[in-house]
Amino acid sequence: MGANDYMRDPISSLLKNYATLLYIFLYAPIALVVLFSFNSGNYAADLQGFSFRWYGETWRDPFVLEAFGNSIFIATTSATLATIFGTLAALALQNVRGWLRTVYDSLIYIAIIIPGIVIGIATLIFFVQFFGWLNPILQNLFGPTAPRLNLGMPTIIAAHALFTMSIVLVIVRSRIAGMDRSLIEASSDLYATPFNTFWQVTLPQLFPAIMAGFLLAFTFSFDDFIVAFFVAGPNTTLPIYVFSSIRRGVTPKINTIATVTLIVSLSFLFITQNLLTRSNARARTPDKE
Amino acid sequence: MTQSVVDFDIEFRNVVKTFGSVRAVNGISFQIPKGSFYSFLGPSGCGKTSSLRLIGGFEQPDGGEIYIAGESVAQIPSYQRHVNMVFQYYALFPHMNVARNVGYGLRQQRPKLLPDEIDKRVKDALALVRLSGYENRRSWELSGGQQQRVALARALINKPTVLLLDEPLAALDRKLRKDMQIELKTLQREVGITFVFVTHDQEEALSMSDRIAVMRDGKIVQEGSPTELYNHPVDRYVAGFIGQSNFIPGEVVEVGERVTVRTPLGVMLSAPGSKDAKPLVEKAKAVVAVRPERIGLWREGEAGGQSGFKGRVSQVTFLGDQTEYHVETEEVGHLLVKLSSGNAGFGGGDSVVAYWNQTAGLALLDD
Ligand SMILES: Nc1ncnc2c1ncn2[C@@H]1O[C@H](COP(=O)(O)OP(=O)(O)O)[C@@H](O)[C@H]1O
Ligand SMILES: [Mg+2]
Repeated sequence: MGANDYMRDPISSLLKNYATLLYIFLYAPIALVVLFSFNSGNYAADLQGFSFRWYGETWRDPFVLEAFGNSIFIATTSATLATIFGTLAALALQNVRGWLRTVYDSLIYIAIIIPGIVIGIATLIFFVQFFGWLNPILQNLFGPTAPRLNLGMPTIIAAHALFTMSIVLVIVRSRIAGMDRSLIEASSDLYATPFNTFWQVTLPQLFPAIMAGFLLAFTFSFDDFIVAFFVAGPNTTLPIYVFSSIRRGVTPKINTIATVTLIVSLSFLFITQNLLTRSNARARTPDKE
Repeated sequence: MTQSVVDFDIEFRNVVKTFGSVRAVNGISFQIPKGSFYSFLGPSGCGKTSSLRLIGGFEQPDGGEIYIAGESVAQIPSYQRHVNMVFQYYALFPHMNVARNVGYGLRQQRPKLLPDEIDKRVKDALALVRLSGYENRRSWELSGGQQQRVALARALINKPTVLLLDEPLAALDRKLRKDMQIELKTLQREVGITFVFVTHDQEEALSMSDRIAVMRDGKIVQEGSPTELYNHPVDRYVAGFIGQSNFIPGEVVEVGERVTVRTPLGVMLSAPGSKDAKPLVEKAKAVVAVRPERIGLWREGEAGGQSGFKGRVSQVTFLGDQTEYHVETEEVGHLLVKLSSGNAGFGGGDSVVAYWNQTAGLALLDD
């Protein structure tokens, strides 16, 4: 059977065409968004010519800038929190074995696949209840000048940190599982105390995974609309801004925002992928007897 | 008594280590003399690695006592034991270059050593394993043999009381393995540190060790110098593991100055018992073990007055200096015979008489 037989085989040529169509279907809308972000015309859907005009306009829009700033701040803070707590949790889970481990593992995966809308509603209800309970206490303690806790940036950060933490945990934990235990033994053999072994061997070994977890958490937070929408209060993030301005019609600015978001997310995913594959390749242990 | 304790770098007294229901180390006792090259030899799964890991402090014994340089190490964690290990797959730190790997142990010392002092000792250690100039390489850029030498340097730089080596040559190809055997032995003499070496390769153990402990199922079957083990194996297992042997099974019929064994075909064989083994008793199942190089061959009819076992050469393998003959005899079955190639000259199908001196065989307990 040569290559020609393969090409003439009706089923495989059908499948090939199907795959092509599928990719067009998936990526054409995204390509269009990118293409139209360079439109020089006044309307989002009316392609006039190539220019960076709308990037400039977007960049000068104070509302966009505020939303963008909020998103960056929220993503950075929540990803940092998620990374710290996710990594600590992964390290702690190392020592958990047996059925308890299975329970924890399942809970983590459930946390990842729970729909955003459920997390959004659940965290909203939690915050409202919690603040409803806490605010009167604060009033009683400090009188009328007491701070009133409300929905806003901190609640978005908390909600994001919560659901991205499990992502960090899964990534770091799989790295721990793939880590060569003999490295830790070698370090101990070479007179390093457990504390020094952690800083000099364990942490550097986990670092790529921790970075990857941070970047993924950042991307998730930066792109998230649903959870933020529920707990944002008066604050606006970039996805929320896009959503609310679309109700007034798609402007060419939206295309530029989408394109920038796309580039940020894709490059973060690319770096993440790279970090993980490279470090895994280096940490690979030869097969034991 | 105190004197004798200090003559040994390592001592095990009835040490037991179990993993679940597996007794990986089943009550072993031994002493490793200072400055010696000591090997644990046995098939995979017999507990060699576990024994080594007990010395290193990576496993805790479930019973018995372990002494390093005369001190009980029951309460001492691995990072406070003055022993170093060369791991089977080297376990070099992938995020450090060669120099930082080698200097790792020195950097843990408190009070801290001066960086210049560390650099100098790293240089010396790399020179010792002939890797000068490799300071800035990454471990994954090195060949297997080079990685192993980095691992050696990383361990030896700390001047440990004992160096532990877990099948360090197993991952190397044959040629390199031979070179490293010689190199390791030379290195051990040079640095004068006690080496505890684990291998499943008897040739490796024989050629390098001062003393060998042959292990089986978590126990030490026999301990001795290579020549002692070769010439006086205590049982069939050791005789089969150390070098090659022909085993002719039978039953002990008489124990005197020699042991007489009757094969199932009624052939009477006489051989001395092994001097290190428990004496054989009548009716015990035994084997007469004969090394292939201790058997002579004569062409049938030329044997003169010698009495031997008639047989036919079924296979000839030329090994260079020696030639191996497989001989099928009627009375004692299959025999492997090794003759120096000079006096060879038998071909496949030749009728021969196989003969060995009564003192050349050993009567051993069969198991
Ligand atoms: N960490 C462990 N957990 C469970 N069983 C083990 C462990 N380490 C060793 N064993 C078992 O103990 C026995 C001896 O193992 P080991 O000391 O590695 O033998 P060797 O090095 O001679 O091949 C084997 O049966 C092995 O399966
Ligand atoms: Mg082993």
